[in-house]
Amino acid sequence: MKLTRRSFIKTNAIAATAAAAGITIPGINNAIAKTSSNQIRWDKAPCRFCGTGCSVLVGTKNGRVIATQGDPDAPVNRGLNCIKGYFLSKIMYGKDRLTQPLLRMTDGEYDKEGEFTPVSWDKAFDVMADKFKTTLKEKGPTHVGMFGSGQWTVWEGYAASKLFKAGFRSNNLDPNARHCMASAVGAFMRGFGSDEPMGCYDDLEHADVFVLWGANMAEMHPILWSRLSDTRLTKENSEVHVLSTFKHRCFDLADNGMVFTPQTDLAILNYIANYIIQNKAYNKKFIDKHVNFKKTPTDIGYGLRPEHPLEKAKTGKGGKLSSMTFDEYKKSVSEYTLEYTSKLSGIPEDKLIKLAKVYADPDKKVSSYWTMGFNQHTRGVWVNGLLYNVHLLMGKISEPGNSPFSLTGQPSACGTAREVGTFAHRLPADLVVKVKSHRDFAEKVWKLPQGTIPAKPGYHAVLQNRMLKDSKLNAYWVMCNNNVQAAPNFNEETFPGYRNPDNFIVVSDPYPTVTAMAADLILPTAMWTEKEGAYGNAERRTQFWRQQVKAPGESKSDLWQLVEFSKRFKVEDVWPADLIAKKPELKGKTLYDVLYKNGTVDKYPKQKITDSEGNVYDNDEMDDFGFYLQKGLFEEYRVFGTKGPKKGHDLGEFDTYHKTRGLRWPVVNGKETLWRYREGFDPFVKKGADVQFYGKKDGRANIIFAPFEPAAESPDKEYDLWLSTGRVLEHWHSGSMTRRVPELYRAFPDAVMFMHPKDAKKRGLRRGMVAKVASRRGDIELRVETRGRNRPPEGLVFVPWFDAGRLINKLTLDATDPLSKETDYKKCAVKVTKA
Amino acid sequence: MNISGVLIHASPEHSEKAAKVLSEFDGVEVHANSNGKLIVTIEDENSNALADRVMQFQDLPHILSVAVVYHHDENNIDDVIDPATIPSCGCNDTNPLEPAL
Repeated sequence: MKLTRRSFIKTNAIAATAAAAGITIPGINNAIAKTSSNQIRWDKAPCRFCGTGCSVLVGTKNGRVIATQGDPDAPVNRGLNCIKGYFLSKIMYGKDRLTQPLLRMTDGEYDKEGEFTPVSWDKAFDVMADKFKTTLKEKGPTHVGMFGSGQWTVWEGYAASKLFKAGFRSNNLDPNARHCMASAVGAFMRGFGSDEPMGCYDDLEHADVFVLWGANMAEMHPILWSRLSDTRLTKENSEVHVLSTFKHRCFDLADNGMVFTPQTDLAILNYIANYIIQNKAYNKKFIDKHVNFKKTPTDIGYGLRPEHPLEKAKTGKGGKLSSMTFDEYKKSVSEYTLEYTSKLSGIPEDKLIKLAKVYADPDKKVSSYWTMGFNQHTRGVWVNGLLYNVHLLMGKISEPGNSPFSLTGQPSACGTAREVGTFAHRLPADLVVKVKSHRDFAEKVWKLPQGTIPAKPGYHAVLQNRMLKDSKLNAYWVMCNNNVQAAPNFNEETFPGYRNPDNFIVVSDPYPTVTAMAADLILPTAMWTEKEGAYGNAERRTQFWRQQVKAPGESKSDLWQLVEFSKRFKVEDVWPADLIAKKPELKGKTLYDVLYKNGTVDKYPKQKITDSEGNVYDNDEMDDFGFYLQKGLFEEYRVFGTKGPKKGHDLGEFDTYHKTRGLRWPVVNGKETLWRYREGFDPFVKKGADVQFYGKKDGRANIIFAPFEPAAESPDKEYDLWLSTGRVLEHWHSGSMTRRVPELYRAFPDAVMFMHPKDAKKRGLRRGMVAKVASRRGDIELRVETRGRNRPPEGLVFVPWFDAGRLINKLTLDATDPLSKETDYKKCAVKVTKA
Repeated sequence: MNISGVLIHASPEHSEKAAKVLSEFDGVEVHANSNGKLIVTIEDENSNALADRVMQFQDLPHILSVAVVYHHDENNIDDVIDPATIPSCGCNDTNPLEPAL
């Protein structure tokens, strides 16, 4: 009997795998029998981890998620699952899950130096509201702030934006997406006047050539890598080019693997533009019709504190573009000759030519992918833009296969951080706080008096830490991220601000992370499928899920926390009398009444949540507040896209998303958009225009010249190695979830330092020995790895940052791109010695 | 009983060799090789096998990508994860989840 059952299951395993691979095996029927034993309820949800946005089937039994598997009906992952996604069901069940609020107390009273003590939600919110109210009253709205997340659900980000930007009238709201996507956003806005990629994942099958610029897709986006590999192995004459500052797994598939000296990507891209122009390969018709040429100010500093010598030495400022002619552009890039670029970058000339040729060949469809290598860069906006320059010169954009594509690292960096606009300068749907008509529109949708939202952008991520340290930000809420581990320069900038006696720090998290342990109040948080949610992935796909299980203990979702906390404030506590006088009917009301029970958000009454098979699901927030909060928030938010001043951000109706595997915006008449700005694909393009970059008034994209400039800190005699930080396949970001999955923990338990064997030998080190790695700001000890998946060249070491026990951000420098304010985690100078 | 279906991409010119190496693992079978696309099953009595194998496969020569498609676990795992039971493999013996503040 057992044998029969075993062979039956095995046949299913083979059939499912063959179906996902698109191949047939004789004798195996592709129709898969449902093998899931009864009593397991299966429902879809996007994965909790990276920005790919795979859909998984979540198996729930007896109120507990017991299994997840790749969703065969999902267009993103087609039934595939990476190893992290496979273990999703375990991330919610770590033994040290937080289940009640914890406040630092001594003798029953709040004390910054006290021990974490369990308290009720009431007590927690009492203390917290008191701190926020006192700060607002005594110091003003710029002294309160929040650090949010690209892992928030769409409505959580939206609720937070309303609470801070309107309720507390503070723009000091920034997401952790500042650390990963801000440079990409900056370049989209400068180049196209509208955020997010023009292409989509379908390009993975349409392209002939793939070029990776600072993205280790094999480890960080394994499912997209699997699709890319599939194309490379099955499509004739397809090619893969990989650029990185060290060899990694993607090099195994590379037809042209290139290791370059950090920062010289700026020069390489200008060389390619130069090659295209010198060989007259550019698409003149496209350029004449669809492109403007611009240049950007140079020598703009490194986003450090103003008193830093590098800031004092800078001669330029900001990113105000000025026009240039094609000939001036041609002259600017002409300095980037093959010889110069090869020497500067360390890439052999023949490899550079091979790379330039694929971009310059009008018959080859090229898709370029990048992630943190481009974005975490003191010239991140520039380098993103330089790649668009190359695609725009050739007209290789906005059509199947020709796609410059910015990958994302968080599940809703696009959907929440960017689209909802939880950045210090943004509002939903690409609106910004500094433009009056944008504020006016937001205030109208939110039914608030004109002048509620402050015009001045708030503190961005890195500045928030500096302001905490300088006592200029005093009541601070950190939600759905692990910023003490993630932020740069832990010793000098991050930790001192959290423990500054002038500040009260609240951290909402499911687990006692480094950040939670540095806080004064910890709020236990429901995660992933313990609540109803929505994420937006890197290809503009918005995906919903239903609440599958209850959160443990007294944990509450971020959404509940934000909305419930708003009940503690009367408008008189937070707004000046002249503002209230503009809308006297708001007098005496709470922020809850004003922001959430406003007639729009509470429009949808409590209802039973069911799927097509009649299964019934919880919605704890609906039970607590008495209306369908998520739906109300989403429908109000959607107005920014459908009626807002910026074209092409339309989302579909709330109920639609529960029925689909996501839709890529703009969604018009229920139809998604695969390629933006191209007639025939994008409904917003004027008939006969062919291509229209309608984010810009004249419909033209910008080619923006920017030169090579050095990194903020390069190796010297004492600190003689580059340090690059990053991720590994087994762990997601700071590891607060994946390190609690025993299988993943065991597979990669602790951070190691990848280095060249010769560099190790020179320092008396061998593989497996413990070394001390130090920068000017701090040091840690960890084991040396000279083999395996990452092979740095001499002169560079790579350390992943997932390990809470080995905080590599004690070493990193808080240098940022002055335009995007995103930190360069890929370049600083260190020395390595025997521990 | 634990049975998984895994899709592996290998360099086509070395895929026969890669398939052979994979087959040498206990409980691993390669059912098809279509130009480097390998249809692989993993069988084991131990529920950790899938994770361990997938992680090992990633480090083998000529393997380009590994994706889990199907997994069947006859005895559904219902355990609570206790950090104390996680084996320490690191430089120190402290709780691996303890932040280094």
